[in-house]
Amino acid sequence: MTSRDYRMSGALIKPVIEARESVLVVLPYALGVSIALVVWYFVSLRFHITTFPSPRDTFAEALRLFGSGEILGEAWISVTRILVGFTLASAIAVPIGLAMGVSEFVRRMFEPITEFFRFIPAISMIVFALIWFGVGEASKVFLVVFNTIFIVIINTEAGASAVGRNAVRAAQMMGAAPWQVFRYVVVPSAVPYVVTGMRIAMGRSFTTIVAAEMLGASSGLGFMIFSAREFMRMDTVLVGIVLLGLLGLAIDVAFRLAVRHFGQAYLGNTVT
Amino acid sequence: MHGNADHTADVQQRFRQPYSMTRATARILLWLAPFVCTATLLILLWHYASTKLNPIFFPSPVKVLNSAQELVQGGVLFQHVWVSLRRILAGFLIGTAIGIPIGLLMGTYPFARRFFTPYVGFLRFVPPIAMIIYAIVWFGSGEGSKIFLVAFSTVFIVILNVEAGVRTIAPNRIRAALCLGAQPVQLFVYVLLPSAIPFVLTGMRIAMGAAFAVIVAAELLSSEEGIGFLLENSRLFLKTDRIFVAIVALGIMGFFTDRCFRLLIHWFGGEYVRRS
Repeated sequence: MTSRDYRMSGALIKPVIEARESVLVVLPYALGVSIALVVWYFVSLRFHITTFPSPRDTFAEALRLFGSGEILGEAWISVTRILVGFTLASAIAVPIGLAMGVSEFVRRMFEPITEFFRFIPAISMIVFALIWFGVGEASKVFLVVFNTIFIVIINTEAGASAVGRNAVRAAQMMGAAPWQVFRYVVVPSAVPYVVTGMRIAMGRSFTTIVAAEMLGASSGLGFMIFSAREFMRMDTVLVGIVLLGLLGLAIDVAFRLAVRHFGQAYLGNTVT
Repeated sequence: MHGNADHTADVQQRFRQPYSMTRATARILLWLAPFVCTATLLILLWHYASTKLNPIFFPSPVKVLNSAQELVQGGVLFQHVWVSLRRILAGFLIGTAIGIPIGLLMGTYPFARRFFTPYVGFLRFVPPIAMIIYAIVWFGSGEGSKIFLVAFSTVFIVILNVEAGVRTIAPNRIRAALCLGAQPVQLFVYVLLPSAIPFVLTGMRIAMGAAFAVIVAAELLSSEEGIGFLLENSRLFLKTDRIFVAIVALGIMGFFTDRCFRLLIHWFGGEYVRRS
């Protein structure tokens, strides 16, 4: 091989190496997914469709549900409930959490409430939610609020009280008034904690809303899943579950992107 | 920083008032005041609301206390609490036992991480409650399905935390160990594992909270005993006072398991937690 050939092949080899590297990256993912599918298929052979539907049955059912648009309507109802409750709860929780983090008095005033209620699963409030707010939207929104509010309060408080003492001192040295310290030091450093709290709360809202819709609702993904069970349509159940997972993933990614877009200045290199 | 703190302590020591019983009591009372204020206010508010509203919708504190006494004396409450706790503990142990090795693998080997990521990344967004129907079809309506649900809700939280723990180890620590001639096994036992422990414990604590929510929902939907069953059963007979008792019992259970967990962390993992 002459040196000229070698140079020419060098230009060719580079993309080959890159391709090989990307194959090494993609291969494990592909292996993971395909093993799951194969195992799923072989397990489904051993069981009846009412116990364990095969990938093909599930896919066909998914096509049917998406084709009629029925499942998207249910999903939209669930997501609306979560978003309304989540926004409402965050709007209440962030100011309270900030006040608790800044003022010792406020913290001790609210702590008995938050410390007590945060250990109560939102789902256990469902009975009261139904009695107090009826079987309509209000009871679902109430549960999502109940689920979100304490997590966000506790995280905001932790963020506001974990402000670096030197950051506060530096601001004061430069003549910042108390409200300026609050606005420019405390709030920005609490933002990563608030965001983390909101993300955790969002994840749990899905569990809460599904359970709430299973127990007392006539619409939403949880209702769809639960009523499919009554007809032993396990393929519909599976499609519902998969869609729930995808929705959770999509909302989490959207939330992270939104935070990165709007709050990058506050986040620095901490989270997301 | 350190010198400054020492100095402050020194100054405080020098100017400290002579110790007196009344001062100490007064300080404790002042410290307790806001707690007591809110708690009293809450109970008064509760009582007031219960006189205005239909007692079936909103039982008064006295009625709740009475029915709590009734439930405790009959031993019914403890029976249900014990059943739920047992289920949580079993599922939690299984979930962590599966989650920790997978998390360690994912943190250590890129291949394992990529292999498991599709599962973990997807399944962790599936609400465990949505799996309840499959849990019942696969494991029956007995203990098996409840334990499966708790394990399902635990395992992904633990995996993610363990993986994060292993991956956030400072590279210099690993390099230092390698320079000192550590074998892969030693690296794992003496560097990776100890650095991951705080994350493992945090993950387990978060997972414990999730497990409570799941077991209640599972018992609400299908069970013959447990605290969720108590809720559902009281609802059927519109015994709202009992629902209150069950909810408060849940709060107390959650609180105590969390505190126990923190204590255990302090005893067994304190050394590792403090170091990081």
